[in-house]
Amino acid sequence: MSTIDEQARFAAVIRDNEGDLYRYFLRRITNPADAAEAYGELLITAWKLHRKMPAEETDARMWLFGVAHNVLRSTRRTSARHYSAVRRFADELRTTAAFPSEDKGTELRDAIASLSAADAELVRLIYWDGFKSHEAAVILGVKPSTLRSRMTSIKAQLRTLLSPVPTQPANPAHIPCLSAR
Amino acid sequence: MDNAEFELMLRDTAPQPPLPTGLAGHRERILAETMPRRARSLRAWTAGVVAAGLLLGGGTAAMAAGGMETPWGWVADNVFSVSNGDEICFAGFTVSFSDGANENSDIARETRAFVGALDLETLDTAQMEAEIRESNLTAQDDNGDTVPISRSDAEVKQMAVWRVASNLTWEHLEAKGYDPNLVGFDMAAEGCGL
Repeated sequence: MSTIDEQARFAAVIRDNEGDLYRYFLRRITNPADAAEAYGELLITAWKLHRKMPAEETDARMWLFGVAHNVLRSTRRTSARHYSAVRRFADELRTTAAFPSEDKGTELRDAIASLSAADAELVRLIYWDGFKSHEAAVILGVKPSTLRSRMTSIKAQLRTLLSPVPTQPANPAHIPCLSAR
Repeated sequence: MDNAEFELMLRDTAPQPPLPTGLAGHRERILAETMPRRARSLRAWTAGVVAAGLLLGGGTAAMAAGGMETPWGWVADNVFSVSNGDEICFAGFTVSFSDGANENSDIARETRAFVGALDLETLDTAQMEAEIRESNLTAQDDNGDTVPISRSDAEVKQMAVWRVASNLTWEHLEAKGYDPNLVGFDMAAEGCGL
């Protein structure tokens, strides 16, 4: 493939996925300017690595989300800050208010946020970004075979976090294990 | 609540942030700044680096006194020199043609006339120098690890002159209705590490 073809293909894959990629950051980074910077870092990093981008469309999409995941994990946005186009994008969003989180589902979102970073990311990739579990495994670089049992355990954990805490009886003596003391 | 209901609930918690207006424009601007401005620039510069590598061995430290003559014994289409304090860094530029554009073609004549008339000493290279310095700082190896490249001011200036001159040449040819893809812009350099 010629350099021009490679460039055009890369630009087309980015264009086809840009909304989802940008939302990926907006769903995880509260500040819109920071999300814009992360998005810029993603574009720059993906271009630098574009020769590793898989040929097949779905694989290329997952590869891009893998790059996005790595950008998110890294606290450094060193590349993006050197690019005036990224600075311009971030500056434009600096005055934009953060996206208000909906009241609906707050408790469950908080429960997801309280999971380990890896488990929370798995839940978000599958239930927020719409990836199948084996695709999420590829993005996170984990074995798909271990994912099913891990998801079962994560869901159980979330259910526990959401369960109402049993109210303390007025008289502790009514609880056999306590009264035995 | 069964599993299906719980999964539905998980999906419902997904924030649905609106995309900012102008996202496509920002993407285009970022990619335009990231990707080589022209694929041909990359090709020609790469070819130029190869040429420089090949030609360095045959050169001598002394710069030829006459016009466009180079220390390597051939005549350049234009030459440029800059001092790094200790020595003179010299660069000779030549244009090359491909895909059927021979030396006697109109495009060849137009290119040589334009390149020969360029005053390389007075080219405004400030922005290009800044871009080169930035890309040196953020250079990455094949694994994506940042490995900054160290270059002296003279080296940066030399590369910037090369790139600005080649861009100007391609833009001129395009404006004149020629296909710039047929023209390569090569550099042979000495004394600046290139």
